[in-house]
Formats: sequence, structure tokens, C-alpha cells
Amino acid sequence: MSAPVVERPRAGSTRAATAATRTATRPKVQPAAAVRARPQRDERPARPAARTVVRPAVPGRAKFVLTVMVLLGIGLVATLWLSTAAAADSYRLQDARAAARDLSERSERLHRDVAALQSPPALAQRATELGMVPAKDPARLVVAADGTTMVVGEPTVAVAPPAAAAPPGLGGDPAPATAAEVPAATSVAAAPQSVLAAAIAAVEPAVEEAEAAEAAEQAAEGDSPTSGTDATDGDTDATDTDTDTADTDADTDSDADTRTGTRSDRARAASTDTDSTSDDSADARTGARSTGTSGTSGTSGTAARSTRTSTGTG
Amino acid sequence: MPAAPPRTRPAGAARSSPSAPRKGGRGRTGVRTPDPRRRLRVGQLVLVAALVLATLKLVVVQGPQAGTLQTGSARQRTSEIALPAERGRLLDRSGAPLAFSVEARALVTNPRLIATTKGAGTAAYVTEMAAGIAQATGADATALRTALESDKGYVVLVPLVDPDVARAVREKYPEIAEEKRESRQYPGGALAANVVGVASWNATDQKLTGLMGLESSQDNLLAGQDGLRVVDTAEGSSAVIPGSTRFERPATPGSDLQLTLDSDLQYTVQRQLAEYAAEKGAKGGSAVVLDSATGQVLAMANARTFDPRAFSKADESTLGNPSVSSPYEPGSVNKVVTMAAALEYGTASPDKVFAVPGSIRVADRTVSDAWNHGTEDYTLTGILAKSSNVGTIMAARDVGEDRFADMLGRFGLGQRTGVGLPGESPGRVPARETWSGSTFGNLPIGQGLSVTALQMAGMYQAVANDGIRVPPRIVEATIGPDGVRTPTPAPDPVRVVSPETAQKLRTMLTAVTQDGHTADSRGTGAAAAIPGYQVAGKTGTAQQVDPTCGCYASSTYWITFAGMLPAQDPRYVVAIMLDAPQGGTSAAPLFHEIGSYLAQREKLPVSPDPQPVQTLVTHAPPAAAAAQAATPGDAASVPVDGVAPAPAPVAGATPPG
Repeated sequence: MSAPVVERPRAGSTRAATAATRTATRPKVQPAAAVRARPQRDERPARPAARTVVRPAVPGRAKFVLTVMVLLGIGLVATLWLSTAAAADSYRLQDARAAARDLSERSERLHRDVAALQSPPALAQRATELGMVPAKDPARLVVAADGTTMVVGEPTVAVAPPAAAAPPGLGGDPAPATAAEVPAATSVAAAPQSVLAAAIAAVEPAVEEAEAAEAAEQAAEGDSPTSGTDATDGDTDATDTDTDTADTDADTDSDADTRTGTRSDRARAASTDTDSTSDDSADARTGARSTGTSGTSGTSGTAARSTRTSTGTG
Repeated sequence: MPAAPPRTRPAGAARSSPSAPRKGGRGRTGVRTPDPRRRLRVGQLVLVAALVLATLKLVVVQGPQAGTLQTGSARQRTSEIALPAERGRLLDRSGAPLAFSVEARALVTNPRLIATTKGAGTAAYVTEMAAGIAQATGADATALRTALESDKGYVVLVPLVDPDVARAVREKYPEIAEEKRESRQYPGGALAANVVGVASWNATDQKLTGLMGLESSQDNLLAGQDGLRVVDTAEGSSAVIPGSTRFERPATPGSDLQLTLDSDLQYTVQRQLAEYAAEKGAKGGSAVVLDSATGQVLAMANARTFDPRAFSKADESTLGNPSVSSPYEPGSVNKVVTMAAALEYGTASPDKVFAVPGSIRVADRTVSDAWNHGTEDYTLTGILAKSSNVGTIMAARDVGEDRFADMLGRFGLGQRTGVGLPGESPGRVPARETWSGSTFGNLPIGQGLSVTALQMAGMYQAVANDGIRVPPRIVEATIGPDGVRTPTPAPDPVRVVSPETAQKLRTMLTAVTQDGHTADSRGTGAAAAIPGYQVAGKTGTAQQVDPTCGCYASSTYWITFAGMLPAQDPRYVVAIMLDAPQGGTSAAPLFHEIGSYLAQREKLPVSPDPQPVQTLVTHAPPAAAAAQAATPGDAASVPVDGVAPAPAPVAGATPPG
């Protein structure tokens, strides 16, 4: 009977104790509860005593709390700083992406322009604008082993074909310019050349090194098996131009190169300089690499070389 | 025990509601005592029931309904974004692009929405907008304005714009939206257009699709495989929630296709053919240049072509590739088969003399030569050089029908070459068992069968390549997206004739282009000769079939020429066909132009030996007979008596060391 009463305080339930105190209607219980409760209360004062023993540790705890607070503070600042930095970087990333996109678009457009300008129809059209005409049947100089030369064929002056030579659709532009009838005046020559030069100048910074490597590879593969001396032709750099000039000199001497024996010197004496050059540059890419380009002075020679350089960039 | 219940009660009361008012109500506990207990039980039951319901619903939601709900939620939030694969390029043999793709944008808008938002100010705004877009993109302002004023929910204003231009326009006019496109570029325009074909934007598949030519037949290879990215997006918008990518498969770009074509040669052949066909009033024409050793197609031109950059305006009749798809009767060019069989089976030698009459009776019909003559003594070479039908039939009779039919097959007639171009025709050769009596009077002279320009080039390639025919190929290699180059497997070569026969044939064919000192020693194709080189070839003229009567027409011809250069060690084979040119036209001058260009361009060594002058007729015929050239083609090439003989161009040339 009384067992539960005794046991309840033992359960340590303060709520039960207070409830018990409140239940004034049960005097029987009250003293017991009071008796039980009191010793508990009496024990309490003992705790501060115990604390006084621990008290020397308080500075250590404060230090700990301080350390934690400092750490939290540092963490907070670090988090703020990192997120700010991340936000700032994301703006930079965005800018960089936009710049990369702009550059790749530009590179794509320039590639397209170069491809269009170096296509055979476009080159032929520009050659025509420069007043160049394809040489029909060239006469050839055959150099014998003893150095004597012989003319094969009959050298004739290359004559411009009648106007509107290009069949529809093969013009460089969908609407070809009618400048073809203008004789090779320097003013005409300057225009396409500057266009080409601008295109080349624009391409060079935009196109990456890989581009140059690709071009070099292309050249190394020997896209023109018959032109031994022009193996480096695919390069965009200035050495290409130098090689050409050297070639021209060698060719003019004609006997220095044994291969000229079978290859033509094209009877340049008879046909005008402009004409034989025109033929070569109209030949476009591989054809134009023939060492037979005669050394003409002035605009047409430069045009031929710049055409070649533009070829290399593609 | 009696004491226990009261004690528990306050505890329960305290637990359920420790507030003071309850204390006051406690006086009625006598009446209400069973209430809390029942309430508790009811509460318990309700809670249990709720739990059970929740569990049941959970099972239903997680079990049977799980699939539907998941799909529904996925539909709301996940989006699949296609990652477009870049279409592969088409390159020529040196790697110069014939077709490639660049990124582009289409400018689209919703005119109806503009009209509702702008209200009365629409007209002015639209005009200003059209002008602005026209200035930025170069499109036609009037057309733009019409499109903007139309009552539509979606219009494409400009189909292909550079991305940066599109961005600028969109920033200026927020009503404009961009759509990703891929723009196909053909830098050479009509250059090899009939071979390359056209690809254009397909709105259904949202990608470039080949419409014709290699772009169409190799579409699978060129198109690549689109990638896929599955991401979460806000509902009703395309804004991707960062970091929500669930699945990503990158796009595989299309493979590049490297062709055997040589851009420069292709351009020149195309231009020369078009000019010549236009000058001679031909309806059409084809020219094919092959590498004689490998059978690779270096140039394939058609007189009528189109510009893929202006594809919508192209004449439909110019779109095909007649060089491989339109067979024609080869005419005398086919006599090389008869000659090859005669030499191979030893029934004749090049200098065997035939007494050739003016005409010969084959079954029910009479075949005569293109010029009138009595019985004359022609050598086999002379029969070929003068293109005598009667002599050829005589030589063919010695060979026999079966061996001749076999030789036609060995030269690849009646079979597709497998060049790799779409719509290739096998031509037509009547099967041996269907031959009638007069068939053998037709086939040896190149009538009654049809070939394509490519097959004709293939025949002469066999002669040029010491009797081994290598079926022509136009795709040199495939370059995969990983940069690995896979060459097209080499076709199986076919032994047609022995090397000795091929050598003899080449020598005989040089007689066709020889321009001897007398009319008797002049071949039909003298105009094809190139100073400094030996040229072997054969002219051909075949009557076209008149569709109105089903008979051979008397005024329209296929004029052909097939030949090789240089004859002693051929490097190039050229086949030309002109469709119905005006009377008196020969294709030999065009061969001369193409050959002369090849010799300059490839720096072919000048022939060390002068072209041999071969005996064609063993005794002089009456001079008047040779001058009776009345019909065009071969006959027109027969020299007119009295023309001053030109000295041989290379006579006395010293060979180089």
C-alpha cells in the first residue's frame, strides 16, 4: 500500500512532488512527501560547495568559450569572404566566357572568309580583276645535258578571253563584280590585295597555334608532290615569301636547276610577264606553288605572293 | 486497491490539464468520471485510425501510384536539351574545304504579340524594327516589315544570321528571339556542286539534312550523333536550375569526308567544259578526269551546274550529276573494245591490213562509213585512227561474238562502277542471249549500248594502266570525329587485257591524234594533240534516239572523246561527252585544253620522243573521197584535202638528260 508512496519521490519526479504539495486534500500524503522533499532540498546547498572546488577551472572554460567564439567568428568571416570571392569570380567567369565566345565566333567568321577567298573561283576572279589571263599553250624550253636549250612549241602572246568568261555560278561571289574588263591598273590591284591582307592580318592573332601546326602538317604531308622546294608552303610566316623570291631567282637562271630541263620555263621572253604570272596565280593553291612563277616586279608579283600566304592560313 | 484509482486520477488530470479551472470542475467528477477515459480511448482510436489511413495512403502513393506521379513530376521539372552535333566537312584531296558548317542563328518573333503590346504604336514600331534588323543583317526591309505585320504567332524573320549580329538585334528589340541553326558553307559555289550536293536546315529534325549529292548519300556519316542533357528547369521556362544536370551524353560530331577531287583541276575542267559547251551550243556535257594508276576521280564536271549558295533559285534540270547518272551511246569511242579484243586474242595486229569497202551488210541492215570511199587497204591502226565502222566490224567478226561480249564486260560496261556517288547508272549492254543478227553490227561501233562518262573514263583507264582496270573512287578517306583517318578500301582491280595489248593499243590510239603530212596519215582527233607530248585518245560520234519516232535521229549526236596523257606513260585519263552540240563539233579541242592545263599544272615532262607517224592506209585513195565529210563529229574531223601539213611540233627535239 504505502510502497508506491515511498517509491514516487525515489523516481525523482519533481513534478510529482509539486503535484503532491498541491494536493492539500490529502493530508496523509503531505507529510510523507514533505519529508521526502526536504532532504532533497537540503542536499542542494551542498552543490555550491562542490562548485567551489571546480571553480579554479572557470578561466579554462572561458578560454574554451572564447576559442569557440573566435573560431566561429573566423568561420563566419571566411564564409563571407569565400562567397563574395565566388560571386566576384562568377562575374569574371561570365566575362571570360563571353570573350571566349566572341573570339570563337570571330575565328569562325574569319575562317569562312578565308575559305571563300582562297577557293579557286574567287582566286580566278581576282586574277581576272588584276588583268591576268590563263596562258593557253606555252612553249617550253628543254635544256639538254650539255646546257643547250631548245624551244618546244611556239611561243605566243596570251590573249585575254572575251568578256563574261566565267560561266554562271563559278564566280567568286554570287554576284560577280564587273571589274573584269578593267585592265590591270594598280588601283584595281590595290583593292583585292588590301582585302586579302586585312583578312590575313585579322586571322593571324585570332587563330591559335594549333592552326599553324595544322597548316604545317598539311604542308608536311606534301599536298603538292611535284613541287619539291616548296615543302613548307603551308606556313603562314614570312619565310614563305622568302622561299618564293629565291625560287624565282633560281628559275631565271634556268640552268641551276636540273629539273628545269623537263619543266617549262614557259617562254617568258615571248609572252608578257604579267600573263605568265597570271596563269600561275590563277592556278590557285597547289598549282600556284609551282616554281615557275616568274619574277615580275610590281603589283602582280606581290599579289601572287599574298594569295599564297592567305592560302597557308586556311 | 481502492486507494489506487483516486491516486492515479490526479496524476492523469495533472497530465492532461494542469490548469486551475479543472480543479473547480473536479466537483463534478462524480458525474464525469468515465468521460476522460472514453475520450482517451476515442482519441487513441482516432489517432490509430489516422495513422492507419496515413499508412494506407503512403502504401498507395509509394506503390501503385508511384509511376504516374513520378512521371508527372518529371514532366513538370525535367527538360531534355539536345546538344547539336556539328556536321562533318567535305574536303578536296589537298584538304581544302568544299563544304563546311558554321554556327548561325535564326531571328524569330511573334507579330501578334507585338501588335497586342504596342497597340496603336505598332505600325511605327514595326517599321523602325524592320529597318533596324535590315541594317544589321542585310535582309530586305520590305519583306521584314510584311512579316512583322502579318497576323501570325510565329515568323522566321531572317533564317541565317551570325551569332553576334543576332545577339545585338535581340538586345535592341526584346521581342525578337534567337534560334540555333547551323549554316552550311560552300566556299567554291558551283565548284563540284553536282558531286557535293546540298544540305539545308530541316526544321523538323532541327538539324542540317542533305538534299542531294554526297551530302545526301553520306548523310549518316556527316551528320554525327546529337548529344542529350537532362536538366531541371523552372516550370514553364527554359531557365536551367544550376547543378541539376541528371544525365549528359555529349554530341558526337560528324565525320569529315575527303574526296579525291582536286579543286583547281575541277574548277578548270568545269569552266572549260561550260565555255566549250556554250560555244558549241550543246544541251549539256560531262567531263571526267581520272588518275590512271589509282582510278581516283580528280575532276568530274557537268556543263550545266548550279550554285548551292543560291539553291532555291537553281534550275531543277541542273541539279543532278549526269556524269554518273545519264548514260549515252558512246559511239566510236567504244571501238577500243573491238581493237583490244582483236589484239588480245591475236586475230589482228596493229599493222594487219584490211581491205575495207565503203559499206558492209550485217544481217538485215547496211553499215557504212561516215565518208564515202571505195575498197581501201587500211591497217588496223588506220581503221581506229580514221574511225572506220566497216573496218571495225570486219575486225570484230574475226574476234567472234562471244569473245567480244566477254570483253565488253571486262571493260566494265553495263556494270556500276561503285564510285560512291548516289544515283549511279550501270548503263545498258544488251545481254548476249538477246542479241539479234544486227546487234553485232552495232555494238562494235558503239551504238546500241549505253555508258556513263565515268564508265567511258574507266575503259580508257584500263588501257592507260597496262590493262588493269581499277574501278574509280571519289571518296578518298573518312576522317572520324576523333581525327582518325580511314581510307576508303581499295577496289578490286580487274585484268582486262595483257600489258602488251595495252601498250599496243596506246600506240594505236596515238594515231588518232596524229597530224601527218598527208590527209591519209591524219587521225580524226588531231585537234587533241598537245605540242611536246604524245597523246592517245579516240573520238566518238553517236546518233541520238529521236523520242518522237524511236529511231536514230539524223541531226543530234553525242560527241565524245576519251584519251590519256602522256601516251607512253599515262598519268591522266580524260573522258568528255557533249550532248547535241551544233554540227561539225568535235570534243578533241576540249581535250586539248584540259590536257594542256594538266601538262602545265603538273609539270609533265616533255615527251622525249616525237610522236611516231603510223601508217593508216597502205595506198593512196582518191583525194576527193576524203573530202566528202558531210556529217558532223568524226566525219568533220576528217581533214579536208589541201590543208597545208604542219611540221611535227617536237620533231628534232633533243631529249633532256
